[in-house]
Amino acid sequence: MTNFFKKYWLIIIIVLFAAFLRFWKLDTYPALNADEAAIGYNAYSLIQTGKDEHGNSWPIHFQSFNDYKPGLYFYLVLPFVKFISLNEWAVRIPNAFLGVLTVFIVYFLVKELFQKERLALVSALFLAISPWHIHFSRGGWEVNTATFFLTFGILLFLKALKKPSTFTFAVCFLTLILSLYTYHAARIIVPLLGFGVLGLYRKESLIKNNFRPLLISSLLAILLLIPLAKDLVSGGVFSRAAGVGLFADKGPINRINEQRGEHGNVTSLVGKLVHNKVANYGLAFFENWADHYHGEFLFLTGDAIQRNKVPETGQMYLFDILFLTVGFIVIFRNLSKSWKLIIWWLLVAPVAAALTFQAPHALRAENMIIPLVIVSALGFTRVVDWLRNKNFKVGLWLLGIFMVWLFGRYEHIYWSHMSKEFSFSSQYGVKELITYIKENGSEFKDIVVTDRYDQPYILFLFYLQYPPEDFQGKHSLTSRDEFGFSTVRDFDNFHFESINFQSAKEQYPGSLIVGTPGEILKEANIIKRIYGTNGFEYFDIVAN
Amino acid sequence: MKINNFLINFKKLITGNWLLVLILTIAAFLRLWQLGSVPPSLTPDEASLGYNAYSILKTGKDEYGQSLPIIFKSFGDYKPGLYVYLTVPFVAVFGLNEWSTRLPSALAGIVAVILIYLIAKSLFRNHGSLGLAAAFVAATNPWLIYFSRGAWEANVSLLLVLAGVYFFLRSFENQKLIILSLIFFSSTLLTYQGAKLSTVMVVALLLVVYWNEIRQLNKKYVVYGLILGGIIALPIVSTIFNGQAGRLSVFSIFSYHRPPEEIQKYSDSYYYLFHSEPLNYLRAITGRWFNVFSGKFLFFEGDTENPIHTAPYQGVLLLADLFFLPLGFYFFFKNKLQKEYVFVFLWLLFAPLSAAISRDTTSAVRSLNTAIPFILISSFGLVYFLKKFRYVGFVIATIFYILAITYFADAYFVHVPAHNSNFWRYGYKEAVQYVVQNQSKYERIVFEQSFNQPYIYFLFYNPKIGTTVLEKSLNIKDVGLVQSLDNIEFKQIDWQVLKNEHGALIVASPISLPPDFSKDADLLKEIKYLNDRDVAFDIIKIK
Repeated sequence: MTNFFKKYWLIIIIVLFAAFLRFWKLDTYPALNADEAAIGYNAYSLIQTGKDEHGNSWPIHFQSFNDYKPGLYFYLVLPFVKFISLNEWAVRIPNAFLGVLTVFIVYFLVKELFQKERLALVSALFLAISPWHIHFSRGGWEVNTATFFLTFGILLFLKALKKPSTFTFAVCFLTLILSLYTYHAARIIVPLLGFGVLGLYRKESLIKNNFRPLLISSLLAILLLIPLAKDLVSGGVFSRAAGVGLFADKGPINRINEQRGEHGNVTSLVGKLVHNKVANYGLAFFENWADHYHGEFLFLTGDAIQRNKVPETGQMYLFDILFLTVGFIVIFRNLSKSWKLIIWWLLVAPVAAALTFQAPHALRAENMIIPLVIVSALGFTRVVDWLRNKNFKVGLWLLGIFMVWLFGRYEHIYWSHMSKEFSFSSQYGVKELITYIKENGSEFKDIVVTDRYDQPYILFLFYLQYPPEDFQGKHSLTSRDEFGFSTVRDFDNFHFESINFQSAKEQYPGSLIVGTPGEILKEANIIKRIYGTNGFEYFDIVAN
Repeated sequence: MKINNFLINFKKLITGNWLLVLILTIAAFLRLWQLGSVPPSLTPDEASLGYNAYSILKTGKDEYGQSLPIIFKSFGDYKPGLYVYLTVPFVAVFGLNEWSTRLPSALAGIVAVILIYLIAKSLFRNHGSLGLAAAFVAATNPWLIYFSRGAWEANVSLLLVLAGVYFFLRSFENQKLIILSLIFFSSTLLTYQGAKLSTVMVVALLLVVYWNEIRQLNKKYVVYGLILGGIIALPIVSTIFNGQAGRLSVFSIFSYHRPPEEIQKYSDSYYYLFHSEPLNYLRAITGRWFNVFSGKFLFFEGDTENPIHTAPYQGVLLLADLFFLPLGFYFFFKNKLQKEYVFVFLWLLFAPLSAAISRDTTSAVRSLNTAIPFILISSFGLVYFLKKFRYVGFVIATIFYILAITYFADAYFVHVPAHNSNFWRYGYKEAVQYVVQNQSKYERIVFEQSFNQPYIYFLFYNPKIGTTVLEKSLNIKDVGLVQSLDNIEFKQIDWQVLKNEHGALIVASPISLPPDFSKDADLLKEIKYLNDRDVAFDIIKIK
């Protein structure tokens, strides 16, 4: 045991540090969002009734807001809901834990690939402090769990190559398949990455020498994929995927018409040859793909969606630009097979995100961070070696200060500015609202709540721990809105709608009306103002 | 004698090198074909350069009556004058028109291909046909083509930089050439405002990277070069102190602060550590620098902030470079990183800086020099791809380039006129020609004033009045807008006043006129943009 600590004390410290960054105040910051509430409540519903909120029993994809969320993460949350009850911890612990574990996995992966202890340690450290990875480890983000399975699967594959057996291959395939059950994007990344790996390692006579174990484990894998495949072709899931897909964007089509028109004659042959769906959607794909390597996205401002980032911070640190540049130069000078694998990973990682019409997309392309930190770590070790060889102590100090400063800036902005700058990025104020209603709402006939902030019904179900059997079958989902989401407008005596104060007053006598400060008239009988933990006023409550 | 030598060398270069000749033919075709009509019209700056060349030719003076100025006041932006003087002979031969105004830049673009060939060859000697590959990539490179087509001083400046770099590299063999190199470098300052930064950058990089070689140069030649270069640069350097460089501050990022409410949000005890104003500028500069290396700018959309810098939905590189550029980086860095590689790589990193510290988030013209390192690195990709995959590689490369060049040529020759004619200020020529033809019929003519400087189009397309009446009727306010020319007034359109000016001729864009102007005026002519949809100018006569 002491040997173990002697050997691994550095990585243990890094992992503990990673855990600290991911678990500190995990239950309260950022506020629980609607997707996380859906995960928690559906797990709760399954425990209580064996069915999800809408009455589907043990689904593979959860219907939720008609967005059909991949289901594996719900099942990971389920035991936590069972044993520590339905709260924020239960929804967030599995993902935060797997996020920490990914740091550990990356350490072993880099050691396996390059046999370099220091590089492995730095890679793990860089992942531990990565804004991209921390952000999606803090919360019920399925993508981060999928990234864990993906990374672990690659490690298991390398291990299996060393010790080929039916068991090792089967475990590797199983892990990768779990990622497919966890997140949509993995369904595109895993095959691409898999083909790349097989291509790279084909000369190890992989297939010839291990035909039997490979065949058996492949058959097993196919067996495990059948339920997923069956569920995917069923209507709901597919239409959701199509809704965010590249072809849902009509921009390229409109551009075809515009461009053909500019040829003077829409039927001109040249116009048709140069401007068609293949060309314009192809270009749109490549543009989306290339956007993920834009410095602005990676190092400066990050994703366009507030929920996916902190203000004024890239997906990585600014110092990574230096290390990545050095890293790539070093890699190009001697492109070993292991580095080819990393480069291939980096190239295919944003492909799934590029097939949707929002790009760059930090969430869908999260697995990019793994190859990126590894290359960055390589660059870092080389820069440090160079400074040491030149005996340039001041340089080392400056570099260290610069890195610590950027890390400090990120943490400062995360904790002090994120919830204030992006006050609608998560459902701040809702928990406070429901706590108040729980205490004071019983005397009112109806409770009318604004639908301004993203899917309020599910947060009410979550925080009220509303009995699922009373919800299932007694509510209806609205038809999909322009973004492909549905919601629930009524359950029990709760009503969720955009508040027109005058008409709500007449429609619901003796009710409690909860609106945004903008919706509630100043002269109304406001009995309580609800503030989020960020000090922002979210709701005014009126006793009607 | 020397010139004779040079010509002999040039002949040697061309004869027996039919591939280079072919590449130059392609380069010339892409730069000269339809030069007068694509881009579809002259920008005010182009018209000003052309007209001033005409004015110099006829009178020896610029539009303000200054004799042979080194810096032309123009619209108050004080243009360094070399481009004007280069245009003079072409105006003398072909007359004053779009073609003659643009020709110096187009020719510079063709010569640039030769220089890139020579630079590639002298930088990287052991890489087979790298020179030819670089020449081909340069000949078909959209970035260079955009700025070769049009009177862009930056393009001539780039040529002079290339000449400076080439003769610098050759000066290690023939020391006298350092004089020539320094003359070329300093004359960029006479050509282009932005050269102050971009040329200094290149020279500084050469100094740092080649310091040991430079120290071995004969001091005498270096001193001669510095003296000559200093004399050339002197008039420009002095402008920095007399305020004529004011335009630089308009374009500088440092002239634009964060709004106070934005600062307020970050005013906590960590303000100086994490949110200070210098840091904010640094972030803005870094962001602009990243933009030069973004897929959008390089391949898919180009300079969206300045549509006249690129073609619609086409970047500054060919789509084929999406393949060859990453490959190029790979083969480039596989080499031992000797001086040449360090120089090209550092040039790539530093050349976008003049764009990075400017107001616009992207600017293809201010980052134009970056094209050269990109071309050199991309040609590494091409050469080694062909070397490695031979015939298959040749077929693939041919397909890639044909597709990419077709897409680019379509974007440029078809869509620039059809899609961007409004950005190119299409319509001024047509409006001016109409007004000039009918000028004598009207007592009062009002032409809508704008920072597109309508007066310069009158001077350009009807230069006779220019040379005779110019000095008398030109009233210049300090902001640089001309108020009137003969009986033509340049004014903001105030319809309430103008509608009572019975019998006056008004030229205005439709947005400046009320939709029901036909109550008070007759529409004489409508000038449409080349998209055949939007109207550039309505020419009307008040009833």
